[in-house]
Amino acid sequence: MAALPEALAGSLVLASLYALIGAGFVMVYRSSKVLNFAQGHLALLGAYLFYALSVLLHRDFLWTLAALGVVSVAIGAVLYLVFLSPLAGEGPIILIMITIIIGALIVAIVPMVWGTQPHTLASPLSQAGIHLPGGIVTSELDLVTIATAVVVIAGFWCLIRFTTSGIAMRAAAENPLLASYRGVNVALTAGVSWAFAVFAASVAGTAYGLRATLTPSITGLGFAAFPAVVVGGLDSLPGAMVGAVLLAVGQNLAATYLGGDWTDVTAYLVLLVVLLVRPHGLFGRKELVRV
Amino acid sequence: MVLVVVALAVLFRASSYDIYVANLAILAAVAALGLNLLTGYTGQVSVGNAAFLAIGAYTAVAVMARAGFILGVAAAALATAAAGFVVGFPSLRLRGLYLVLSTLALQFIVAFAFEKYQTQSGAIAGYTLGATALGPMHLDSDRAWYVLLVVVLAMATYVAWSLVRSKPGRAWIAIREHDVEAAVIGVDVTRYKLLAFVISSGFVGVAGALAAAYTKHVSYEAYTLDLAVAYVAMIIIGGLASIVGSIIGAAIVTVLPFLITNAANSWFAGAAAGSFVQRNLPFINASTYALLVLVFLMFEPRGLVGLPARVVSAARRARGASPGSAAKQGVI
Repeated sequence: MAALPEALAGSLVLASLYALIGAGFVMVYRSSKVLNFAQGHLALLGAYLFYALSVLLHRDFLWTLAALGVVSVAIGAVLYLVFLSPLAGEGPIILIMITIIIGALIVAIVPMVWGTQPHTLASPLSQAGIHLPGGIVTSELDLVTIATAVVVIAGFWCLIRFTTSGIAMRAAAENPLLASYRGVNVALTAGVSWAFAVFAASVAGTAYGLRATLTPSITGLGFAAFPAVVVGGLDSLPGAMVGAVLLAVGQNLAATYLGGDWTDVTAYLVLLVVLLVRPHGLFGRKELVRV
Repeated sequence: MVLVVVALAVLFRASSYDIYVANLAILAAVAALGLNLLTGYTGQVSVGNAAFLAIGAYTAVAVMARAGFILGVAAAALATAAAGFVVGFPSLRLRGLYLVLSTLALQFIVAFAFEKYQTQSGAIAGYTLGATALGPMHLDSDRAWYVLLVVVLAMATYVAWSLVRSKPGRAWIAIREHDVEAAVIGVDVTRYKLLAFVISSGFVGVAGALAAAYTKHVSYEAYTLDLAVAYVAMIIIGGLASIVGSIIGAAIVTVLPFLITNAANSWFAGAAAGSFVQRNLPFINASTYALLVLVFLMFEPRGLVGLPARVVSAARRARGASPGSAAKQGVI
């Protein structure tokens, strides 16, 4: 098992992508109990937006990132205002369908705008191997990706933990009517969480696009991140991170011992087991009613 | 009565291609009826119906070649009902979104299992079924299939209608409205939830088997999450907990892509080869379809079956007769 530390290190990059996408799920779920099926598609959109902005801003990496941040936050807010907020109070099935259709629209529109041919994202971060003690090989891009995921998610967590917005989110999700009586701006809370979700997805999509060529078929990232979030607990940010690491390691092990085509299905087998044994995940709050 | 007239009119007047589309819509309607029993009446949201269609189709492939058409469909119904029974068990513990996630897992796992099975049994391009014979009748044309499928849909509609108007239907609605209270008033929640899963997946399995025999081809790529989502869209667009709504929704969602493709082809017939439109036709179709479904969801979240009643009440409101109904629709 000498390969274990190496496999773990290799999994951390994948885990940071899952964690970023998962953090978006958690934010939306916490504020509105909506399961956002479009999260992977939003990552795809984010990566293409990075490409477009990068061309627009003459390939200046930092300015492009900043612009991506602004644009993705705006897109999140607009998505919420146009599609989700008119349907507040509808059943979960309608809201899930809306997010699925948003995803379908993104998948149809992206190739119309940017074509189906692969694109390369310009980046100053080197992918050359850096050798660490213990035989671990990493790269500048890997380290920056992991650090970014940690910083973004820690930022979300601080926001929820140290400001009243976390409680406002929970109140808005639990009972929108009562929350609004107590002065919680339910629409603003949910809108902000959507903005954060799209932001995190865009960062994840860009980080993915920087290490591979960009084609319109990377939405699987979102569906692979679902099990990670459930393992950690649907409403827990630290849970999303732990779940992402566990899942990425599990997928790497499955790929090593069972074959590369087992990665996706491993994620869903884990999901099924977790749902049956501990539905609220490792860190989630329990909300079970027995009948 | 009206439906019989419509069905006959289609049989004699429509072109073979139109009948093909109608057959697909009828097959979808059988599955949508089953899904609506589960989701609309019992309130259990599932995105696992493509997996059930696949189980029905693969069972049909395995059985029909040896035991004939009728036994193949029966075996498919039994196999999917059994699968539904198994999948129903998590629903006893999981509610709402968690159940959606477990059916999502089912979708991925079943798709993977069939992909493995298919590639390892050497049928990479999928399975081809032979011609179907129903006793002395040979189902060798779209028209013959149309007659059979209309009869099947009528039977399915009758079964679903009888169920929701008798004890199981009332138990399902009680479970949907509040499962704890349903248990309090004496509904056996475990039994009726599992019954809903068994019957619903049985319907879907029959549709899967019939579709396999009709299209004569089965391969795992067809049973995607998108397909499962399309069935959920059908029952929402038609109307949750509505028998007629299931059929209307299935017809709309099935026919819509054909209409969009036809419209796009005729509008853009003059477009130069290699132009933007020519290159992106599939994406234009897909986005138009998604937009139309979105419009239905946003403006008719209660489904089309509720439309007449809403038009009447809107007309009344316009005359200022019923101020109360407007307040009820207020959203936080």
